[in-house]
Amino acid sequence: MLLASNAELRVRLEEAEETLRAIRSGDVDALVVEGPAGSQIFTLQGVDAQSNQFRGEILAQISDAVVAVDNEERITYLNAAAERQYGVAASEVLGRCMRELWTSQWPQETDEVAARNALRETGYWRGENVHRKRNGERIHVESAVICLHDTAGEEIGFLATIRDITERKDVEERLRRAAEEAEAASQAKDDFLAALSHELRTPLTPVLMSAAAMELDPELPDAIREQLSMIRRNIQLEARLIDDLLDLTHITRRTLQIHQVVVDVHELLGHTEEIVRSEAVGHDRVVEFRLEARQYHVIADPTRLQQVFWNLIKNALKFSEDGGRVTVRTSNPSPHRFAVSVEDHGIGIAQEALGRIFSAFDQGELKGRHRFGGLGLGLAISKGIVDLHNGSLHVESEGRGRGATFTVELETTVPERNRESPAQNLPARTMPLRLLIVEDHEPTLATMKRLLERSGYRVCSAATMSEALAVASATKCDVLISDLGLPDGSGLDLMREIHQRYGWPGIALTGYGMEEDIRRVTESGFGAHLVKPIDITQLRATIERLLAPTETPEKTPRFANGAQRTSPARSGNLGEKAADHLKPKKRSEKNSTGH
Amino acid sequence: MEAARRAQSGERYLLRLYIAGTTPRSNRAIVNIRKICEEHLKGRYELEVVDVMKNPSLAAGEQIIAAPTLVKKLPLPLRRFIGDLSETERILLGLDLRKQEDNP
Repeated sequence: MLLASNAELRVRLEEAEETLRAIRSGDVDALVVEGPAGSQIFTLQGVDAQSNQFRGEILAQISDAVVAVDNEERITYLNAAAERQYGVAASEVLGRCMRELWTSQWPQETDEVAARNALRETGYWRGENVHRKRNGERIHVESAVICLHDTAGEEIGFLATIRDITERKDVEERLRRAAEEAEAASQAKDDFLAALSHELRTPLTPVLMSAAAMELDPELPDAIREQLSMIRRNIQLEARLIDDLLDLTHITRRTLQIHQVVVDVHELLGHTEEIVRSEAVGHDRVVEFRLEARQYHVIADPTRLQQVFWNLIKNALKFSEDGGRVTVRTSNPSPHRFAVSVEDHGIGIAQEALGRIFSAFDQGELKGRHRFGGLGLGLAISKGIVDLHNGSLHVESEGRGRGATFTVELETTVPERNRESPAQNLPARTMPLRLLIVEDHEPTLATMKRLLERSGYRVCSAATMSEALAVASATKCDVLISDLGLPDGSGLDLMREIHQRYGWPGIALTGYGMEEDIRRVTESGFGAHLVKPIDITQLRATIERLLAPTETPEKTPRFANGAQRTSPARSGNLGEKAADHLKPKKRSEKNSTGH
Repeated sequence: MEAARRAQSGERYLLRLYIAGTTPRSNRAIVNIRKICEEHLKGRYELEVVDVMKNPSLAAGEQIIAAPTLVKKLPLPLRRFIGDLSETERILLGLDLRKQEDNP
């Protein structure tokens, strides 16, 4: 017992001595001294106390959590922000394993391995992951981690600066979701527009075809034929307005597809000239073509390019006075650059309006006066198309009443020397031709059948895909003409079947006007594509073209010159326009889709 | 030895560490003692950290005159260790945790 007391006493004395030694050698931070006023604390400042304090204050002030761990991942330091972020006190967790503070959750397991490898190899890693805190709460964090070394260069752990980015992530997530919703709504709008155009156009087809056929009927009095012509043109005008809206939707959504080939622009302007003549003559306006460029081949979508020229010329005519002159001029402003300018001497454009002339729905300062028809989409669409071709479209005007010049500039290319000649093995022509028409809209089917029969064709008809295949197996036909949306399947599948079994060429009829459809139409084996409302003259021309032996080599095997081409919108237009001037008729009102 | 036998038998340890603010030394003291506890006393120790800057009277009651100081309150007898507790061997010995490992 005494021995034990002695031992205890010895230990106490040792402790006291040790305390004194520790104080002397500066191993303590503070001393507690009992005085009359109670306990008093005296802090002892070492040589590096000031810099320690300075560092300590910085680390305490910064809002990012700072945590240091040793090689066993035991926590050796954490600042006040880390205490707050993880809901702990430093004194509770110092010396504990880091995993007790949080567990990391990685998007993928390999991410953790990659982070550890980076840390080992480069001594540094920065990235994002999720920390699950002790209370179960999860926070998104962005961490920067560096390896720590002692004075001898040995690795002694690492230091992490961890920022809670949960709020930012939440905002990002909300924005992403909002964007997705907006995207979906926009998609729905696009789908709706496409469906609407289909629905609006479908009933126009039989009306247009009947009107066009009667317009050509020599037995009808001229006065009635003129009225029929007016009916037809107005229906076409309506269809074009729908097409413009669709085009604009595609341009703003960047979904407008262009199919680029080498284009001889002078040749293209030749077609345009034919189309434009009839427009200008009726108004006593002259369009002069001066094709002066020496290099005139570009890479472009010929149909879309034609649409641009057509829009610019149409605008120039629209804003010209009677008797006015519009000049279309080509040039090479610099090597490898090709320019088409359309110059008029009409009402001109005020300086302040020049900047927004290419905005949709803008007709410059003419807004509200309703002097000019159209929705004001033409220039916006043209600009969108030229942009897609990496070209430029700009306008110059010296002011109101002094005319305007629109210039399209594109890069030139070398013409194709060895044009591939689409030497198709066309079946020998047997007259009369037999057509298989597949269309589930009964009035359209009946009208087309009647008109085509009157044109001298034999016509088989079907309303469904299965019916069409049954007819095809019983009767040999020369051309398939099919709607795309059939009750029991797609016109595309029907074309594939027919093409595979019998090798007949086909013409697709569609009202969707969607770019994607056209690509699929071509892929499925259709040789041509017409957008409703269908014009009978155009349909006949297309049938003849499909069956004719290859005459002039075209730049695109099937879809080259204007008529039944890639653009659902313009194809009808221009084809119809091209056919216009062949007909015995007078034109009185102008088309207006631009400005 | 009796204390060593008791330590081995799994007796609970109650430790109290007095520190003076968040200095690097007090930080080191916490890390060092917790490492020792986690390694040798896992699941059967309680470590209480008291900041004398915030509670000077607590220190006075225990006759603490310097910080950092670790007090082993249980098992008895009471022991004190001064400094950042980085001399692991000495601490293990004082806590009766070394002998039974060296001479099992």
